[in-house]
Amino acid sequence: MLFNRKNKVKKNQKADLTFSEEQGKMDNRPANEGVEQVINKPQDRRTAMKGLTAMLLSGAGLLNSSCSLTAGEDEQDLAQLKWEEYFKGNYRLMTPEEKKETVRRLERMYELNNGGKINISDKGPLKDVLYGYAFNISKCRGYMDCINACIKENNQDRNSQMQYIRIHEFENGRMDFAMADDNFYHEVPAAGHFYIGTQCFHCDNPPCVDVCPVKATWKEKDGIVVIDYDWCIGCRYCEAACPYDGRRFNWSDPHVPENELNKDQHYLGNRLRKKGVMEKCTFCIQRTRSGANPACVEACPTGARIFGNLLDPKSSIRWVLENKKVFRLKEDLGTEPKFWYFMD
Amino acid sequence: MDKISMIRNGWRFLMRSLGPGAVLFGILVLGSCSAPAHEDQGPLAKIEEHGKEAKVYPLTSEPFTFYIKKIPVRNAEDDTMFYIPDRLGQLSSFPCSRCHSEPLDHLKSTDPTVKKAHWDIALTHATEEVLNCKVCHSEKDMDYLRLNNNSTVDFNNSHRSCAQCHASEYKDWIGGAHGKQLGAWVPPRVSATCVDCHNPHSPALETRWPARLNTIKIKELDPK
Repeated sequence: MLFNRKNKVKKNQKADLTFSEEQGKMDNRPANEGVEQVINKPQDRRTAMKGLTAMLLSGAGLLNSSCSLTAGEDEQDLAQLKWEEYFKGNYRLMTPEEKKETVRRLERMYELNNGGKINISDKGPLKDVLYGYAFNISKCRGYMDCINACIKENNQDRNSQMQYIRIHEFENGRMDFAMADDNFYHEVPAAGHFYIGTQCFHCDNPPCVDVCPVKATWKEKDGIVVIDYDWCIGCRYCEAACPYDGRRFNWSDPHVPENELNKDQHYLGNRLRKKGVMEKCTFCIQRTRSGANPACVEACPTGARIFGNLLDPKSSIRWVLENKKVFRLKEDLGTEPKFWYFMD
Repeated sequence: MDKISMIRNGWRFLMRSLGPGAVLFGILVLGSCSAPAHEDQGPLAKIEEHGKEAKVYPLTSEPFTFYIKKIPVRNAEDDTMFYIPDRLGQLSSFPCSRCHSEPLDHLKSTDPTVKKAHWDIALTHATEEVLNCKVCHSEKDMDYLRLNNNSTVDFNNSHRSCAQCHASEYKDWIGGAHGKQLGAWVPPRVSATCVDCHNPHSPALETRWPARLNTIKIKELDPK
């Protein structure tokens, strides 16, 4: 059986314990301690303005408009929000209240900047859920409907043609990514060819997380590897560390037309990114944590994409793992992707 | 002086000379070096650890599939249940018996200028030796499909007719590997049925243009 074959490594209980201890500490930490007492102390407008003025005088001017006596209420509001956003902590270290606050600030900032309302979620992982994905390479026909749906769902930059998913065309009989055509321009499927889609595989042992110098990316309890876009410094170590070309960098300010913006967002998912930060597939965290399929699964007309809970013995993904011949890419690296390929 | 008091004095000396801060710093450095590296065993180990009991979710697929009229399908093997979209409601000229109440010869027109009722149906499914209309459509009652033992099955359960030849596809479909799961990953599962993707009269999927071009291709075609 598949499960026995894969499972020769001895369990490292100690490592697990340390991990959960660490998690516990983060959750139970008092709201303010150390340097955060200074940075994160609750501010009313007056103290914030004082701070701002001091910053400006010392030549570190953050926001000019905030000091202007003629600036409108909204502008001052915006300056205050920007100030608080600038000095917020890493998402993983925030208390539930702090998460709610930053979400509220981001929503309000969008409202002040763009006029419309967006809905940002901070929904946490579901209990006893570990997301997994299976991709049927006999079924994929290279239509690329998944890519269109992904771009729309995840508010990807239209100017730089940002895409999380790539569809590779292979000649029958060989699966060499160096020989694949990622650039096909003809009716699909081409005779004698097959197609493989790649994206972030949400490894259980993700090298991208290990290399991040600022811990701006991590694996959530439900197995989704996420990025705190406000903590990322854009060093692109993770992009280099990923053996699967799963990560993307924003070289310029992402542009999404107002009428195409998906306003149902998640803090760790499809909320608007900025220039100089990493992004990637999040298994559509804003959809999947409420039970929906990721956008690519929903868009695929062939049913080649299967998504579900690996811990649920009754799920489709488990049936695939137990009944089909599955493989993963670069299994020898020990990255343990939660993304399997199979054939009919 | 015995050994223990020597160690104790040494410790006191260390504390006094370096100060507790430095000692604390040393402990921290050592601690961070000796902390076990976080190593995961992979998803399969987690699956095995988790056990075999069925999962109960606080969510259902209903909010994502409410627009689908659902027909239940029972998997006899392990007594599981899932749903497929209703088919009868989608048929444009149902019930068939509105026309097919008399023998076919009476219905056939000899006038070649009259458009045939099923002009748009061409059977390109298996070979003529295997399939003709009567293999799947019941002659006894045209509102039903026919199974190989001459019993009938309604159009909502057409998968039972398909399953008679396509056994491996049927097995994959029941399990969840073939046929798109609609709307949500949480149960209850709603999956597309055979005829949602395959035209039963011509089941092979046709080629088409991709929904978009690859990024690089767009740049090549439209260099700015």
